[in-house]
Amino acid sequence: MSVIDELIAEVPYYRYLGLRAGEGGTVVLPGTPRHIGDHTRAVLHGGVLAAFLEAAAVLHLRSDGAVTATTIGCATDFLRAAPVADTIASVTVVRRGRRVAHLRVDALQENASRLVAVAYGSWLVDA
Amino acid sequence: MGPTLDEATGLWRPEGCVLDLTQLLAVATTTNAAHYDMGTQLLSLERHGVTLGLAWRDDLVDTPGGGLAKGVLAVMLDHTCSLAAALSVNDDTKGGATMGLRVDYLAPTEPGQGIHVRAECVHRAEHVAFAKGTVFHPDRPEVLLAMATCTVAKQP
Repeated sequence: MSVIDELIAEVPYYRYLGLRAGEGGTVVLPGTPRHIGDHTRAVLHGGVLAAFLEAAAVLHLRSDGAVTATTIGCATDFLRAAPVADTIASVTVVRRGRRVAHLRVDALQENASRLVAVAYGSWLVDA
Repeated sequence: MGPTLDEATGLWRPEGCVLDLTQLLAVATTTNAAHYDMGTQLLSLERHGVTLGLAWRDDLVDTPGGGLAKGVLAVMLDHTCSLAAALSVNDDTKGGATMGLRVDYLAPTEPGQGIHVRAECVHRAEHVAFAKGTVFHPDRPEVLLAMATCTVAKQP
């Protein structure tokens, strides 16, 4: 079991979303009908994607040694409708300061070839 | 003339609102799978805004012993802002998709407490509607837990 899977197991909401560790430190949101936001077009709920990218950032910081990582603010742009399929979150640390970390998180589908959303935010970290 | 009671849904219809409230209630609470699963409630309507509610659930927390997860607040804010835009556009044939959502988390949510989320559409441009939303505990509406700005693409 990876560090990220162990951290997911501790958090009820991450289990509710069905998160799991992906390859290379990524996090995966399973494409289940429960995450649909628009019944007229079977696409994932934008808010669920935003929640997923925020969770992926927290998991990245915690797997990297932060005891706590508290989200200050996070902005998500939805680039295209995301069909009900597994979505991968790939985290980039833009700057890690002593107290605050700035992260960018990409949401990818179709074997990471299609960017569906991007989030950018700041986290208060306690190492 | 003010709001009028909509018999079918029990909601107060804001003056000037011409939307099918049965359909709006369904979109808010049942036909949206993510919100049906969480148990989202539609509490009240305004001409350009809406308030939704979510009861406490101990499976929706992101810190042991904590309150409702930040992600849950984001899911609620996205939905509430999108519904506020729909009310403001006031046309059943034109839905909208959220294009961007920025959430700032002001204070931690309290364990054991549900939330109310209110959003208001502040501006409608030709292709995009702009909404803002806030999250608070029902018994302390003056203490903001999170706030959001949201852009909603208008269907042509």
